Amino acid sequence: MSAEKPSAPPVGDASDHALARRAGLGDREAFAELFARLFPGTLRYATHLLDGDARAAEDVVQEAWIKAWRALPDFAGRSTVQTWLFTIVQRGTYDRRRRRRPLAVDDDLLEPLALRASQNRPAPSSRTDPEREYLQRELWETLQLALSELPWTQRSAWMLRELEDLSYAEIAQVLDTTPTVVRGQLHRARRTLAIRMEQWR
Amino acid sequence: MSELEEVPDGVDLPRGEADLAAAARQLRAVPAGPRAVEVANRVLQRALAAPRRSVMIRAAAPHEHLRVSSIAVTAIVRERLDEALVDAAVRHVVLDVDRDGLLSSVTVDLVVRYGTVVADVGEQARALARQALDETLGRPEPGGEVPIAIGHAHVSDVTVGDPHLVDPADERA
Repeated sequence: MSAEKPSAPPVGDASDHALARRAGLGDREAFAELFARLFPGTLRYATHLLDGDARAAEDVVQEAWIKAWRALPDFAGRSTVQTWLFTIVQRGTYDRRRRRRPLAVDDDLLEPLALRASQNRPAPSSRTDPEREYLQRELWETLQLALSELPWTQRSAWMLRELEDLSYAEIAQVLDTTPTVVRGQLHRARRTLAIRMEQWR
Repeated sequence: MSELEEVPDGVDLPRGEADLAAAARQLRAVPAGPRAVEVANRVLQRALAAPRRSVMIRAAAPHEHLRVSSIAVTAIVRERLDEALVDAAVRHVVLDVDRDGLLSSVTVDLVVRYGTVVADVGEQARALARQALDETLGRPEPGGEVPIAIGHAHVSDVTVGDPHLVDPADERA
């Protein structure tokens, strides 16, 4: 049944697990493909967890991908590759936040946060009318601010669910908790965010 | 924050929920900007440059002064087998190296497609691994001081699809 063939199938057709297996055995092309698929999500996740601090997020994500490359030979496939990577990023961002000095919150300190949110917002489309564009920008900035106000685990759970489309079980793995706890965190996060969206408009 | 937040007077919660859904859609749709592309390139290069744990393996006589990293040997064995085998892919390559840097055995762990004749694939994998080792470490002379033994190629798991493209973990999910 087995016969020699000219070459292995292209990496683009392989599943994340198959790519992780090959990358663990030193296949750089497989790692680059895995990176192309999962890097944008890891950077987005770290950036939002770190209140839009792009430089800190880049550091954390870089460290996470270095750890991933080193640890792939031992990756056993007990979770999805995406969940495994988000877990590494989650720990990195948590450590980064713990090292930050606590700051008193007042209006002056919130101003740079709002500024960062406006810097990260999507580029306006030339085809939308000015009023609609203004409303979209307002929605975007309000959500950024509301997210920054959420407790760490709620914010993390909301982003993994709404932006990265992870299941409750996968989020529970990343946050080292149970799906039931995740369900509760998400419920509270959605309610708080919806209230803030209304209050701050 | 353990309890649900009360909805303040005057706050229209359904409207807030609709706004939240719209903002989340916007957030999901944000494309990666030029800065993200630049960061991605840098991170990928740095990750690939990070060293992995490895041991140095002594090549066969008359090149015993040469040492080859276990990472390189593993990568070449995988590449040769994955490129040549149909319905089987490498899962692990375990190299047993003694304190003197001599390779004493190699274990190649395969994933095969369900229904594949395992004995045939195993023999083919053994021959290919032997060839790859000869190319990287040199061909040992019969009875030479650097014995390179293929421990065994065994089947650790099976897949329904092409094992080059899927993993048993995909099909368990």
